[in-house]
Amino acid sequence: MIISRGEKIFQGLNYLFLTVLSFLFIYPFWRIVALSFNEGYDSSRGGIHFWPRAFTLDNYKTIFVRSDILDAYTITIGRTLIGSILSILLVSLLAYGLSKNRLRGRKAINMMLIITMFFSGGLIPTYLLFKSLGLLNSFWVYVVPLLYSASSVFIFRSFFRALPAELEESAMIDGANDLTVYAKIAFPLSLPIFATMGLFSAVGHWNDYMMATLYVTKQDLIPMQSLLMKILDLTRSNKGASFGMVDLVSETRKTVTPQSIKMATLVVVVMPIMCVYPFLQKYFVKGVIIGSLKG
Amino acid sequence: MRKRWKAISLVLVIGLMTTALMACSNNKEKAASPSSSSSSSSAPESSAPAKEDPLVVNMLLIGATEIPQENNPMRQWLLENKNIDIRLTMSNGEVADQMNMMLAGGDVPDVVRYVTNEVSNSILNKWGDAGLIVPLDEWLEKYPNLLKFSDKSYNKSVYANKKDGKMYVLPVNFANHPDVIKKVVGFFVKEDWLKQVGMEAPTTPDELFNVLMAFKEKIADVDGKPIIPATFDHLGRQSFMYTWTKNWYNLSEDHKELYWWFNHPQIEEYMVFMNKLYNNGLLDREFLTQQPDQYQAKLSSGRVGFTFNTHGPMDMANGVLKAGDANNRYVPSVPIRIEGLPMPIHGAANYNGFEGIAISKKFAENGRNLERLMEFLNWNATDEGALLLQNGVEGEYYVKNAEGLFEPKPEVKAELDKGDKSFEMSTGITAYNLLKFNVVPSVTVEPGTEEFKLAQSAWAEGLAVDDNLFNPAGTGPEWDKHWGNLWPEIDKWQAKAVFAKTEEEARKITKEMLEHFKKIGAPEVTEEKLRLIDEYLKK
Amino acid sequence: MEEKLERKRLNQTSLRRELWNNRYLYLFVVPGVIWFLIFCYQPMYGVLIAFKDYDILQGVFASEWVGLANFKEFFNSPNFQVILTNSIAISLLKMLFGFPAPIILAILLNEVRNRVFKRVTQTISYLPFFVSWVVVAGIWYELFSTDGGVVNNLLVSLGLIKEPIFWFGNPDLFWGMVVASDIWKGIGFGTIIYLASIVSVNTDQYESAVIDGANRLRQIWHITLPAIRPTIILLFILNMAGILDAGFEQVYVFQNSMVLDKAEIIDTYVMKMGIFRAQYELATAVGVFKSIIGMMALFAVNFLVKKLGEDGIF
Repeated sequence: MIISRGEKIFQGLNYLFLTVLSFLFIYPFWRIVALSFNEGYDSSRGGIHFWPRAFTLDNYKTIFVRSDILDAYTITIGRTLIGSILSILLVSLLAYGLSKNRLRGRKAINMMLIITMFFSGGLIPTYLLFKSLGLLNSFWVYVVPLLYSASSVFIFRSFFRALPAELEESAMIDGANDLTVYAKIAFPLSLPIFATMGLFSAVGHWNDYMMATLYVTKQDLIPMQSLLMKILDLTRSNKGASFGMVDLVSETRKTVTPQSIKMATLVVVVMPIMCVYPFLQKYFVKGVIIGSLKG
Repeated sequence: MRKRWKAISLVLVIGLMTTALMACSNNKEKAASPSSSSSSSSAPESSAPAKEDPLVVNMLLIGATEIPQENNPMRQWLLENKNIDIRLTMSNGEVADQMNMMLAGGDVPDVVRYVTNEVSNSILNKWGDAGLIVPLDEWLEKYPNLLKFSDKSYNKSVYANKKDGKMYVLPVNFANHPDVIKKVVGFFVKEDWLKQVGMEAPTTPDELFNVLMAFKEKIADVDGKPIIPATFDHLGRQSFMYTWTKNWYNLSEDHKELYWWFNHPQIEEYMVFMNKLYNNGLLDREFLTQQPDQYQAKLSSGRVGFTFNTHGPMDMANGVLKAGDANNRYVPSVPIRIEGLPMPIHGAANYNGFEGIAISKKFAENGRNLERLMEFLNWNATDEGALLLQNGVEGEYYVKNAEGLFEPKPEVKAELDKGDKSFEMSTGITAYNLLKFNVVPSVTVEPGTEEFKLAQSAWAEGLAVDDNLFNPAGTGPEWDKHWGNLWPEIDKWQAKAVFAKTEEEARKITKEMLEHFKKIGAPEVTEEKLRLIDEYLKK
Repeated sequence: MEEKLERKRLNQTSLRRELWNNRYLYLFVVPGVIWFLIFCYQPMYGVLIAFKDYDILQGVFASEWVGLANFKEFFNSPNFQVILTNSIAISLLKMLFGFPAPIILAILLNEVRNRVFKRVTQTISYLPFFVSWVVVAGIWYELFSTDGGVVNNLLVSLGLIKEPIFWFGNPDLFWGMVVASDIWKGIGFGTIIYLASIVSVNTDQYESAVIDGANRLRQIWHITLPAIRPTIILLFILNMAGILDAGFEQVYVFQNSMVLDKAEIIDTYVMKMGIFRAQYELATAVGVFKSIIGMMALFAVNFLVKKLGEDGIF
């Protein structure tokens, strides 16, 4: 294939631009990693840009030495896996149903969904609902209330509607029912959007701390994010008289400060979820067209 | 395609297994921790002194950020020696929201300890109104020790239920009590710089100006960056204003005139002074915009000459600086004052408890629960009890030193100094000192850095004993409506006044500010407060 | 008469048959509907709090009705005009610049031939999404500081400016900083959904376009963009729902007293008022207000879009 000059220039500029952009994206995070390996007191002087100046593993030790870290990870991983898989499944099914004109009540359901985008009950009514459903202090408070969202449904629906109708028609003629069409045609063709929404859902679960803050008091049931926030609060030396006795430092120099722990917690939270996207990227390929559709 | 289904089913299986695991561990938990009502319902059967079952107390801490790990030595000790099993849980969210949710749900744990303030206290009394918790008046009578750091009239105005006058909460934590309070905020100045320019710590604004000028002219750049003679954060700015306005409120002797710090007539002089500092290059340009980390970086790099702060961040900065050179440090500096004006108040001792304990009705009505709990709390209130709960069994972590004071053992001290509370959490010390009582006079070695100890004398003048009039008098609807708009306003005007080109302009802007306050509710709030004070005095 | 009955019976049977034929669709849909009824509609009575003097003990229904009093209080607050202007301005600016940004980046990323470079860049681009706003604000404040901040140093040494610019002290720059940092934080993650659409385009289309002599730009214009058009439209409409959402968490951490005139938005104002009272009426009323405006915006755009011949949300 002959590549024109214009094409080459464009490619070159594109690469350059994206490289600069990548630097802008990664630099702050790089700095966070460097800070996480740097002694807190030393970091507070500022000036750490690329490499740690006073290397230490203490920031990470503070996090991982805790006995409750295993519980927290289990909760987070569990809810991310179960929550996102369940959610994607249910949302896509609902969206698939709504994408078919032959479904009665379609318009009503659409309207019902849209309204939920705008009006919600608020803190206390939601709390009372969860209480009556037994979701308080239960693992399922992380999953069940987050199963659906109106915008996810609409996004899926839009993608399903864009699928060529002939595929479904020919499958139906061959005797397939809706379930088969969904599973064998719609799903494979929509892999990229499944991967995308799955990622969104997973990230949402991974980053969430609000559910635990509001609805969970059993400390062995809190997710990673909440635990890290706790750790952060613990090292705040200027909480002053929070404990009745003033929080006092001795002369010994400490390596760990609230800020340095914050850096380490950021890394601990981001690293695992960041690896999910590259893993999912291979699903961002054109769906395989099966069936007997012949031009 | 097959592979994909395989992968997905694998993931699903893992997910399901995880849930199963969790469900199992939850059940285990449930089996191991019978609810309080069932275990303590084994009330005394006969008069035989057979040992009662341990009193199980499920206690929720709202607004705390640390509870010890579940099985810790202290909890074990309490179980064996005091026959009480205290199970702590904590809530991670906003205190008011948490309490409101429990109020709406009609359900509170056995014992709750929450952070007290205007809002949370009023919610707590609603718990009382709703019959969720029990009044404690007779127990407070029976065990006066519980209120040894309290003040009866203060409690009545601040904590007692306005409707039936009963005390539904046991106020705790009296680091504010005149006997116990430590000075924790004040001015700081760079000691080595003072020595270098041959001056004393400033005591008046003029002296401060001269010291800062000397810094600017004589102190060289630090690490290649220019020095910052003076910088402040939000707390620092407001406290510095007290040099002119005395306190965040200024109530006249006859209780007829009231000014807030932002609309005090003298605030103009503050603006003019800061304007002068800025126009002479002595005030950090970023003092209104800097983030906490930026402020700390300036302190820790040793580039700041003068500031106002709590001891914590300064200890951190000193920790960094002294490591390089023992003389390179910030030391506490006396309050700045103006002749003819009242002494500024940077800290006030009063009877305010920081937290409060409430006991649920369900728990209290079950057998001897309430009685036994109060016995325990009474023991907590004694010196021996408080000492043990705060520091551990004598000899285990703390030993008496030569002067007869308790000191942490070296290995314990090393652990405590880590600053991440891991020692406290694994041993359980401090956590079960539910009343958070100190032992007075102190029998432990005074903790804290050298500078902190210096501060106790340097800042002594800026500490006053609260008149216990202003806060107990309470607030009203005008306050609710306007206060949120009033207190942040001054920073906006400061931004204009301090950076004005001339003194006249700064004065003009301040006068506009004072006029503006009249329009956004300051007079109404002031008038209401005076009225409330009047009513309070009449009682 | 008999005919009518006969037809009626036929209709009934065909209704039943229709339901049976579509049984799976209904099966898919029913759990969702139930979920929404339980988790969204059951608590919705909480919206009434906006119209009441809410007393938790009495509950929402028994609390005293005050009509529009809470709304009036909000509209009459001293800064109402300012916070409304700021909210709308920031939100619209974010839409104007922030909405196209991921699209453009997605297209550029798609043009990359080298697979490794593509993968690496994609992964890196969505990193900022995970950094919390508090940390982002800390980083940006430091970068743009007048006290040795990298940006000012760079600009001065390049001779572009003489004095450091007080980026965060100048109210007029605030909106720009907010929009820029929002784009920086969200653009990478935002490309993901567009990439999902782009990927579904049949490569045959590109090949035949090349044969027809179309260059890069024309290919993008005629093939890639139309392919993602439905996604763009859908996301744009959905975006309208949050038209008064200027981004609470971000604006809150970026605010400082010098820029408050341009930095106070509806949500930060409500939060500050709420600290003192822990009452829910104001927050709920403001929420209702924002929702109504958002709803109007969404329906308006949806209507426009359908007029232009595209698929709306409904």
